[in-house]
Amino acid sequence: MLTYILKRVGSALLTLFIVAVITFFLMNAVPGSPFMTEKSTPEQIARANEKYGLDKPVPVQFFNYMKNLVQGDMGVSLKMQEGTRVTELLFQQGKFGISCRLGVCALILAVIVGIPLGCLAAYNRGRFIDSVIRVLTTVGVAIPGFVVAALLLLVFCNKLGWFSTISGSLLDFKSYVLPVMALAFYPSCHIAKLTRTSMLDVINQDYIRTARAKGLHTKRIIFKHALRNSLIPVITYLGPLTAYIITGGFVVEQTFQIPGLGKYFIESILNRDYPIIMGTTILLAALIVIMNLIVDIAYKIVDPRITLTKGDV
Amino acid sequence: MEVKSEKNISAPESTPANDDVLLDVKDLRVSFFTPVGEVKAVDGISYSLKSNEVMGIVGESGSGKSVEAYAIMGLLQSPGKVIGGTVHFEGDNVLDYDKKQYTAFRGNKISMIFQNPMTCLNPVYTIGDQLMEALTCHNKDIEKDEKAENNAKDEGKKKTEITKEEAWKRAVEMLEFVGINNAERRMKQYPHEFSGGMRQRAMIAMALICKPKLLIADEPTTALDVTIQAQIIDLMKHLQEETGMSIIFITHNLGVVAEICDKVSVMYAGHIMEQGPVNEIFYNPAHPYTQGLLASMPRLDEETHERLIPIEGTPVDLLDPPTGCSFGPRCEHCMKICTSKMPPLIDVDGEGHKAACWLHVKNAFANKSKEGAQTNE
Repeated sequence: MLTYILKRVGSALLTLFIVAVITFFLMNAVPGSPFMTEKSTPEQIARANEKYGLDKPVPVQFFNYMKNLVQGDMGVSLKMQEGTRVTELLFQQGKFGISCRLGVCALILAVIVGIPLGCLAAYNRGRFIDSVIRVLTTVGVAIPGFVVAALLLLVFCNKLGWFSTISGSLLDFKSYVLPVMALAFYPSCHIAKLTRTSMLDVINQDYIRTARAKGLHTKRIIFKHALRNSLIPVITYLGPLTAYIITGGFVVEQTFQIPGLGKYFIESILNRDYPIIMGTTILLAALIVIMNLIVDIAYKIVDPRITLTKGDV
Repeated sequence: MEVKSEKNISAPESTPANDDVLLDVKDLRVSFFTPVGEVKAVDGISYSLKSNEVMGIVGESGSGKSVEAYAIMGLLQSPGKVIGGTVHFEGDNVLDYDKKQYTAFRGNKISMIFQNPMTCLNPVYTIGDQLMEALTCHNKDIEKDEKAENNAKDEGKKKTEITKEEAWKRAVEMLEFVGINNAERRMKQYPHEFSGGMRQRAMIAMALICKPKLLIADEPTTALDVTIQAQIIDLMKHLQEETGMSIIFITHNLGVVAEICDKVSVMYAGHIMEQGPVNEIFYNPAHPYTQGLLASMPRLDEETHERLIPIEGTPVDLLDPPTGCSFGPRCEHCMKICTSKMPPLIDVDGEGHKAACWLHVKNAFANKSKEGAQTNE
């Protein structure tokens, strides 16, 4: 087990390094410079480049960046208030915290709505309730996130007036409700679909017949015997989903005016704010790597036949 | 109240042939309603089974033998449906049971083991977990129940809840009972850590843990290799003698039937073609189909090694069954009447030996008229 974990950590670091290399060189391969605007003179650009070390050859810049990164320094933002450190922006100003809290809530909601819905549909296969759930989830998967967010705003804020349109920094419970619903909408539909498909396959298995022959109640058969066996595809989906959802949904954060991490992913690219692009990318990559490890361990917990230590890592 | 209780006592007696009859199936019909039409998988079969009796149901694939068992267990899945007949178990028609009653009935009074032990155990739970579950779901504490039955004073406490420790103990005993060594350790293992034969033993242990009165074994040895088959058959024989339960043994292996069964029903295309004590069926088969089955079976005791004789033709297409006797198109004795009417299951030579064949109906008529003539004389 220890060698397994060491191997996984090693491969994780390698993955992150490759992600960093690709991002860094791609970002620099785009012509132009972060400081190039209509008004800026060549001297100004040169001065700014010099200040941030962008005048050096790209490999040297990369080496310097990596040297700092190892020490936990992700550099300073090129565009924001002078001297804004990327690490500070991500972690200390609570940007990541806000997105993370929102994301975790949405994730929990998606799971507790999606899985039972999927079970219910699978159990009532071909009946009315199954058709309803199928139509709902298919529509849910097809509707873009901004439409869902806008609809929620329209109904609950404008028409009913239950919530405020601006959720802000999520200081009270009420401000969570709408963003979490908007963020969880797509994943819960997707999870319901995955669970249904997977469970339909499982409930035709011989061991389900055995469970029925034993005299177990339907609820127990579905939630004990069938569910655990149908969780693998759901877990596979949940891994990367967690990474994306806790780094913030750009659309939802924009719509509800939440100062989370989501908008930096987009803005940093539009602004060519190199250190922030690198910071957010590495953060997301790290989360995905970690989630994949957790997913693999979760497989093992759900299905004892899966061995972690054999085969390639 | 008194009247009611009297009624309860008298009710089972009023059902036909009640003395010691455990299972009484009458004219059971099961159909599958598929998009291309109705498939009569079981078309009016009847038999009865006494306690402590082992009955074999033989027939080729698709003859309806498993479907019939599923119908009794209430395990039929859509589009399969029981469309007629009765199944009396200890005097109750189980087909009238609601969902709850069926759940309490299955696995408790009647258990079933299946063809493929490799896929019949849930891969993600330990053997012990699955064994204990069979006990706890019926909330059955057998030892205490038995004690309670013996001790009239405890009658009020008859259904005591079983604790986890007791369930564990009982499950371990059960595993040892079916011949699994190291039962304590085996309890904590998962099905994939068991071999095929071991899994079937575990399945049997699970089926018997609530001490059912009837075990339906649906081709329990088909998926196992020959030496393991023999072990499982021996085990079942032994367990049957030990516990005194009845067994319905569904198989297409006539050798297995000869080994373990008291009586046999031969099924073809949803009908029982022949029924009777095992010796009668083997030494004095009455139906051309049974004769064909026996002729197509390799025999070790025969000195001359003759070619096996296959039954000509192909099994019935149940979507479009032939009119008349379903075996007619393949039968070498096929007569005119066979193509128009299904023969009834009639006595061939006493002792419960019955066959559904016009040959015997004719003979029976002939005998009857002979007898009549004799008495007239």
